[in-house]
Amino acid sequence: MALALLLLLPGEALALGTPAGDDIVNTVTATYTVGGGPGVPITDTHIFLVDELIDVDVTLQTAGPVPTAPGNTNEVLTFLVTNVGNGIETFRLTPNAALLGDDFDPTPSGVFLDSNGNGVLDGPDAAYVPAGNDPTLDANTPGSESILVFVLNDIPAGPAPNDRGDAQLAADALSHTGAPGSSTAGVGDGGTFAVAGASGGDDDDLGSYLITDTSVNVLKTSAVLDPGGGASPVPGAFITYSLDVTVTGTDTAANVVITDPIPANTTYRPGTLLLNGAPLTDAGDADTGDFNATNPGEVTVGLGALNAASPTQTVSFQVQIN
Amino acid sequence: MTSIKMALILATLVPAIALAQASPGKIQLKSVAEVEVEVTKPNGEVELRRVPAEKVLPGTDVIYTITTTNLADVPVGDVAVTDPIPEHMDYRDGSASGAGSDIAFSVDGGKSWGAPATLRVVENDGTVRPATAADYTHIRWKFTQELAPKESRSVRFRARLQ
Repeated sequence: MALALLLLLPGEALALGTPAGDDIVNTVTATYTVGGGPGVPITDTHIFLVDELIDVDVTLQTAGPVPTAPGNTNEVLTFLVTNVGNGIETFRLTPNAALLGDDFDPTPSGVFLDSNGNGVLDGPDAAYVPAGNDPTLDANTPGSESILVFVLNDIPAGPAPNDRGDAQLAADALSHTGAPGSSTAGVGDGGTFAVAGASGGDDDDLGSYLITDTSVNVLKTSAVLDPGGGASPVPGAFITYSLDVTVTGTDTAANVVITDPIPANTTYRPGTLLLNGAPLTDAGDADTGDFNATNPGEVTVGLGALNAASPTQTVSFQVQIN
Repeated sequence: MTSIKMALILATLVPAIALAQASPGKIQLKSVAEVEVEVTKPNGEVELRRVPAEKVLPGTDVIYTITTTNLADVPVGDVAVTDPIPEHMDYRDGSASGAGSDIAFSVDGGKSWGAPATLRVVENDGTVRPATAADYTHIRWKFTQELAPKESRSVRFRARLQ
């Protein structure tokens, strides 16, 4: 099944406020005359510290519901968690798929951080451990204010086509959460107040999995030509196999690949592989099909993305009975 | 003890010198920063109350009150209070006040002064445009009258934390 990821560039929600813990200095000067001459100018300075705004945004990055099937595992939803306050804040992440208003409950099976910042879930990305590697996000440093989080869920066996299951990711600031405007003294950057912003210091967003009604159908037929010109499956006879591939349902099937093992007691006849009547070489080269290269002893043909509107794709090849 | 006696003697003997060469402390200047918070009264009404500046976040308005007090026993004149807009703050248009003073603004770090309508900003490309409140670098209050002995006068402005 295809996973379509739309990745927004981090930085869109970047806070531009004065950093928490900065000194705001006001120095005022007065000049005057006294007794007909200039008095010594007087100055006074007032300093206050900028407090820390605790504000976070969680936004689903995955475009549309993820098409899936019953029993699939580790289906990925991608979220962007952004510190939209004015300080350096650490956030606790919590996945939750036991939600109301959908047709089935996915089972959370893992949370990963995009540790290497490349936008996709891959090897170097760290498994998230609450209280172990809670992400610390710096609202004042572009590029460090947000992190992509991959939330994995397993799909149960029960749901029917077009059933929807929702899954959530929540992020909670560690130093303070509460009603907007509520605060905790001394826990903001530089010992300032930590003051909850509009988010209350926590946010969440929701993604969905949709059980697909889409299937890839293969109709396989065969025709035998014996050495005598008849249709008897005797040694030396040729068998031409045809595989007609169609897709039904509303989704697009991505990266459809047809593989077909050569039957026992037959031998592939070199140079007979065709896609929609056009020859494909047997070698594992630039064209989309091969014999015995991608899969030993099998014909392999890649058909790309197909949907219900695609014309029938016909793969054919010949074997000879030993 | 000796130095205090000496000072008393000097002050008694040469008051004219003390007046002509004002020493620090003839006037006092006090800058206070406050923020407004909503307070719900027992009858349910919400009122804005000023409290010392804390829980100041980006976007918060801070009210600066600068009080000048004449500590001398003679009047002081030509009092001018100058306040650079603090870094990271934007002056709030129309917020400067001060009874008995002429208020002027600068957009060039205090080199030249004028009323808001007269101020111009020269852009990098040479074009000239009217100044806005965010362009102000300094505010100056010139007291129109002398400050009598022990008299205090306050001026005020509002600025928003960026």
